[in-house]
Amino acid sequence: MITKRRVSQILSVILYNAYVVGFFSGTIYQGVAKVIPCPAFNCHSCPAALFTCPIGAIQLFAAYGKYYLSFYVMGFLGIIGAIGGRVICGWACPFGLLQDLMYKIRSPKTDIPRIVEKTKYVILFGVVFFVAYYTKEPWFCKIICPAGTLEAGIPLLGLNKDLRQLIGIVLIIKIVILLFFLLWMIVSKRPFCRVVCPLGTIYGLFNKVSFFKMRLNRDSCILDRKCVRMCPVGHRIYEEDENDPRCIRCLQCSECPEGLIRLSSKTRKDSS
Amino acid sequence: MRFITKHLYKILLITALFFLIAGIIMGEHDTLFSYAIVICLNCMGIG
Repeated sequence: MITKRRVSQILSVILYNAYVVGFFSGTIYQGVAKVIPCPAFNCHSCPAALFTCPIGAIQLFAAYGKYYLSFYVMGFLGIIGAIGGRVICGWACPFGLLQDLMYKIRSPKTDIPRIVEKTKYVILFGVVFFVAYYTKEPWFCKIICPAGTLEAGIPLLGLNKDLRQLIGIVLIIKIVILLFFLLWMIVSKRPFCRVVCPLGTIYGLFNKVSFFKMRLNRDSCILDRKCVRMCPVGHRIYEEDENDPRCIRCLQCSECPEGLIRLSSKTRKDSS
Repeated sequence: MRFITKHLYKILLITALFFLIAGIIMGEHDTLFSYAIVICLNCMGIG
């Protein structure tokens, strides 16, 4: 049965990548919508992409911006974060959808140690901000980003003969990294979101303070752990902070049989 | 302090809105546009 969240994810893929003409021309969209940062993780060099990658933009301004920070991009992301926290990750991210679908492939499954998830802060502050500022190069895009390889590298190199002549060792490294993540997505829940994604990390910083928050009635919890099994990121909401930066606000845990978990707004009085 | 924690999301939202407007006034959206309409060779692994 297809859920509302799945429909939302599919619609987001279509919305962010509506310029399908790009797949026939072998070029990218160059229209006015490119002035808008994409709210989710989607490479703007995908032939079909309508919007700009915010992480690429952050690195650009970290390297060359007047204040080394893009007020425009951070303001855009801040508005979304202040309202819903990491809700885009759960409901409107193409790369999140890919991970959810890959995890459905039958295989032995393994969890990701909590300490490994701290890597995302090193990626965000170390690679995206500091390394881009220091080296004037977008090293996250150059080496790490698997979305760029999957959505831009492979399609454009397949469509554009001239670009194929520029293929070198860096592309090989990026394809290996992409394959690594694709395999990891099969055995672990949303590894990219939990360990690497700098955009999700930015949104996650807002989880504790956003307008919409998760609420859990801990006193009535019977510890059946159904919430953890349903959670796409394996968040143990019953023993950790319900507004932990890991939570992607997908609301699957709100299907708790006891009805103990819900999304609440600041204006709603808590009954628990 | 209690006022700040109670209204923090509003403070963040208003700050973000000011950031967005300030970025537009400074012309950052034009810079972003110029960057985004060019194929990112770095993203593709050939830059």
